[in-house]
Amino acid sequence: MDKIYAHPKSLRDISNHYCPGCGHGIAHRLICEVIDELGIREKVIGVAPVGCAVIAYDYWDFDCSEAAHGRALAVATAIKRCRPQNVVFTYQGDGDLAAIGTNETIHAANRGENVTVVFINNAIYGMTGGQMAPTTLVGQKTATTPLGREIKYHGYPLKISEMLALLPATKYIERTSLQSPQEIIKTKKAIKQAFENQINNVGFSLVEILSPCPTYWGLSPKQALDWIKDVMVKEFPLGKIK
Amino acid sequence: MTEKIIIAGSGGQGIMLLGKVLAEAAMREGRHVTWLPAYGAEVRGGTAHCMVIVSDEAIGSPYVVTADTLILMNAPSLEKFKDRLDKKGLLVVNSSLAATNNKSKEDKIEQPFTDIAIKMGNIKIANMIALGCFISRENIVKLTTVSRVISDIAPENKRDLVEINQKALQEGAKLS
Repeated sequence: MDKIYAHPKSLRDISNHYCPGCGHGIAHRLICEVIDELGIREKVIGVAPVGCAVIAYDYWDFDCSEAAHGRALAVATAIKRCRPQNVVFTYQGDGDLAAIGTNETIHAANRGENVTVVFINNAIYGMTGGQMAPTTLVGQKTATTPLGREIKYHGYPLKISEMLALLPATKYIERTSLQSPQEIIKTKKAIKQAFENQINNVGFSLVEILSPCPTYWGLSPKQALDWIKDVMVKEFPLGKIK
Repeated sequence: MTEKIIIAGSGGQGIMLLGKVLAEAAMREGRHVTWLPAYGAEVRGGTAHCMVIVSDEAIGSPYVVTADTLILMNAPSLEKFKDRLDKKGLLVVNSSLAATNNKSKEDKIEQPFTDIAIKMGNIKIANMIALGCFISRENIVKLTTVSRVISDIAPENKRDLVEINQKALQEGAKLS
């Protein structure tokens, strides 16, 4: 009998520390499947974020670098410019990429660095205790918006991907989700595209992935997936942005 | 007198609360106290430990290098901290989840805190059983003070848990 599915070689076969229902486990696996399929495991260098996935390199069996909070794209810029032969990607949450790291994100994108960005958007700050993030929805209750985010005091959810699409040097930006098997398959395709773009020297490529955080959304894992489908995508529409 | 205590276990075992209750009780009895927490990055689970120092004199640093007492609630914590105990120190181990090397010569208390908690109806009160056991053995604070702290610090929405925590403290005290 043919073996048609196996544990990705690039993903260490160990249990992880993520909460039940978290999207990180799925996202990690998709990246590893893509890296295996593209045969780039020896060339890839991942830059880990600060957040729940701060120790992503414990789960990925390829070369990785740490970065200070929000600075993954600065680190990735340096690695890629010094070693253009490597395939360099960052894996960042919404706080890392669009709050503390906004500056690095905008400028790496504006310079058109030929890197791949995997942007995990769960509309909240996970590791630090469920505080409001730039992408938190209006009305969403968080540790720092116990009565729900209000436009008057906290502004609107930040559409960083749409903003980056305005920059001429960004080449591919797509938003997907982990809400269902079909969406997960689409996410994998987008991740693969973003890696292929780098290999083909197309330029700055980013995939924003709407990911569940049952713990800080106050929902069960199943309810969290439904919340992405029913609520989150209305604010963050899926599809190719650029 | 100065007593340096390291309390460790997994996230969710109430390690921080154990330390805080102990520190609060000592403070109410007029001692100098420090409480220093250490968390893993994990939101759920992971490892947790805190260092509590109780002293008659002002405490220069809250960090404990060598402890007079270790209260270790799971196996990874036993592994991690077992070499941090003073030769004359006391080792308190949750035998439900961790086993010491029987040949070791230290002063030890090994009790199944988690199993007792489950029998009492709530796995999460294992910490208070351990605290009751430790206090009645070492007497660094009075059991009655600890009991009062438990009553006082419960938040509004958790007041219904005070009774079982008090029972846990008493059950633990009986173990010594």
